[in-house]
Amino acid sequence: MANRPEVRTLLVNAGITIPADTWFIGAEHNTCNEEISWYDLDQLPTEHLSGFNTLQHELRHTQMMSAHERCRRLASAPRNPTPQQALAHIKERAADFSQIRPELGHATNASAVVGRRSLTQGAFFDRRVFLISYDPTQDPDGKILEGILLAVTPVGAGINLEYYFSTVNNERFGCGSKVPHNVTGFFGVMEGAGSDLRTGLPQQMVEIHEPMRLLIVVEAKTSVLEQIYARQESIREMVAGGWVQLSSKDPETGEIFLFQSGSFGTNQDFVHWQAEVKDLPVHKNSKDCYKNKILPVAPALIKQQLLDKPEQFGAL
Amino acid sequence: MDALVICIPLIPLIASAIIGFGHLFEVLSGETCENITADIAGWAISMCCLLSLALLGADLMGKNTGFYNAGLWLSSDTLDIQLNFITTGFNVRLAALFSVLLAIIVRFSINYMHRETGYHRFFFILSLFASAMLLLILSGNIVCTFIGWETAGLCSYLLIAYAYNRPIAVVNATRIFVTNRIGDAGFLLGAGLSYAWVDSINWNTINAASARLSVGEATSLALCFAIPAFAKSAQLPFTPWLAKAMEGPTPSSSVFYGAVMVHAGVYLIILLRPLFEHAPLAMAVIAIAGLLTASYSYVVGLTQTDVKSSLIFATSGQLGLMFLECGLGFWQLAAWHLCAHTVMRAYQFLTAPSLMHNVRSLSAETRPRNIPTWIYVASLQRFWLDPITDWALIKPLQGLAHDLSYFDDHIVDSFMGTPAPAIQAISSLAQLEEQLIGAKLEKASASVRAPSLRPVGNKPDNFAQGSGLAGKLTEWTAAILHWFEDRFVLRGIGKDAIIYGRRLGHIANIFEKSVLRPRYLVLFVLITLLVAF
Repeated sequence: MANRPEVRTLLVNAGITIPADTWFIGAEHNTCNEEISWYDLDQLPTEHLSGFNTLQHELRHTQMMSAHERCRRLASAPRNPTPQQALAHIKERAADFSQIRPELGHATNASAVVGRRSLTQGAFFDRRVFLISYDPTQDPDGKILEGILLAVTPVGAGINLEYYFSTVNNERFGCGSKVPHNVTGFFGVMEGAGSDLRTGLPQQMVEIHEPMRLLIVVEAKTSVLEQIYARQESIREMVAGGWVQLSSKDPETGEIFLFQSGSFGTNQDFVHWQAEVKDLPVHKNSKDCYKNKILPVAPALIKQQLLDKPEQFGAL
Repeated sequence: MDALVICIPLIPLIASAIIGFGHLFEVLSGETCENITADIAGWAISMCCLLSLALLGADLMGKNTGFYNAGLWLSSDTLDIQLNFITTGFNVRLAALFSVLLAIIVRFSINYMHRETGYHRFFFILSLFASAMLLLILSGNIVCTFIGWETAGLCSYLLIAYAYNRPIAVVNATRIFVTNRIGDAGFLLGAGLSYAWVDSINWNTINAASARLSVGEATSLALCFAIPAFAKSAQLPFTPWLAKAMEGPTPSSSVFYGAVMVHAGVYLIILLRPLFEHAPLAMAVIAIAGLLTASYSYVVGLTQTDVKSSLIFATSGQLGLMFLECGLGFWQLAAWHLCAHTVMRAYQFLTAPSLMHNVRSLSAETRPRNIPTWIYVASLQRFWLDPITDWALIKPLQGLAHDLSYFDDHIVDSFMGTPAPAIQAISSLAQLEEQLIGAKLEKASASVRAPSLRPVGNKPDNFAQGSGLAGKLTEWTAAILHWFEDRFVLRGIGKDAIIYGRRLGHIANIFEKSVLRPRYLVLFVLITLLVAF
């Protein structure tokens, strides 16, 4: 839509200028087999082709590294594969209909960070954090943040709590093992020839999950968050009810406040959170962060290099 | 090349023994040993598959003699049970096909069953089943086929009850197991009759001799073997068990009820083709049963809402068609139908879990319209076959069992004395020792204290004491008379005698009522018949 000249004119009138050499391409990333499907490539102007090829090349690298990182948690995946092997395995796995664990899904999710991308740049989170872009400097009254939180809180909490409860009591809140499942009426599964419809996640999806409530870290002033908290019933319910944990990172001072449930208005809700300053291990690249490890990995930093082209890995 | 045949059922048997004993002695357990189990099962079935293909190749090139005798198993008088195999024709083709499918399914299960609690158990049973099924198909005589037949049935039972923590799975498994035992009665009777009439239990001999048999004999023999075929291949009236069997893991559903085991019945009929051809009545019976099953499964299949039930009724419908084809004499067609159906259904069952991926667009209207309401209801209720069986067979049997248990508890036990409750039983040698010593001590102390401490009323009475045979006899008589006198005369006729009298009358009433129940009438008729013949 934003490629159409008339839309661009309207945007310029609204004060948003998109450079003339910018071209938007719709794409979808299949997180199961790492495939990226592109839309409307036939409309791509020829002058953008070389740029697009570079992008594809880089994304190819990203696909491989993502596959590589995922392989370490999959028991039947090759150990310490080359990126090509990893991607091949992930693709094969997704197409294999005997494979009861085609992907990891959202297993091991722990946190959601709403903030500028510079906040998390260079950090290795072991696939455990939802990253939501938000710039507090553009949003003094918190209107944008309110919209974001209205979406992130229920969705993130929904995913996280589904994993949480399916893990803590798989038989009751989850749906047990996938093995005897029987697809019923195109809408659900039951066990064997007759049982109640099962809800929740199967045991195979939560095996590696560690049940914990979602920690939402928002890069915003506590005052902004308090206002939103006061306005939005649904957010209040989730946060005050303890279904998610909310914390704020002050965009200016960098201080972190953790929301502690209490009577609102006493300014006791956000408690200053202070931990001892600890140096995180620094690795050359993300591959080194999880090298030879198959269990969860603590956050680490990745040495940032100013490069024009992507890092070269292994045999690539 | 014929000798290869013996390895085909043997290799999976060895694999299952290794996995089974390994698991039993906890050498193979837990996730770390999954690879070993998977390798054993996978290699065994692959080897077995290669051998079957080699045997098939040899057969196609005409290198097989068609029969292989591995030796005498047991002999008694004129009955010799050989360990022999058929190494040509349909048997070999089917064995090759089944072993390929089994290999595919074992391969599938390795991924599918990963981290399941019963991983090793599953592969143990699957390997045992592979062995049993190939023995069933390749065996040259009734006894070995029967062994394979029963072992396959047992494996089926064990895998339906795979998740034995779910009551419904266990109930279904048991019910299926019992249902299939009806077929065994026919099988054993058939084995007995063929020994009596043909003097042999080799399939080939029976088939060759079928021309000599009278039509009556051929028909009885054919019908005897038709019953296990109906039971195993879920033909009416046995069809409902198949739908109950969907409790096990998907690969086992695929291999047992989609691909391999349910076809054993059709195989048996095709194997006995010459016999059936001499028994027109038996042909008619299998044709009718097949036709009825096919129609039944079609109608019931229309209203199934879950993927496995839909597939299973499609399966029993196709099996019905195969029986119909056999009954009408299209033996070649039935054999091809069997092979094609096996492959297709195995694939369909294996893809059943990923149904939602494969169904791109949901067709909302897949059911045919314009069917009368009563058919719809009957189809939903699966023609009430289960309740009918419950009412006609299970309830009377349960009643009988209940009465017998009552009889045991109240009559036999009161005569014979109840066994001591388990809680007081001796559970260890040490306990036994202790009790022996303790008992002696107790006895000793008891005898020391006896004269002064023994309560007087504890023993019935010891007013009469005698010695010697006559003396003892007198003593006992006196004791009995005393008891009688004490109970009936001294305590007054008005109290005990009336209560006893009432009780007696009540028991007589109950007895009369029970005896007139239909199940006893049936039982009496059966007993009379048994005595008469």
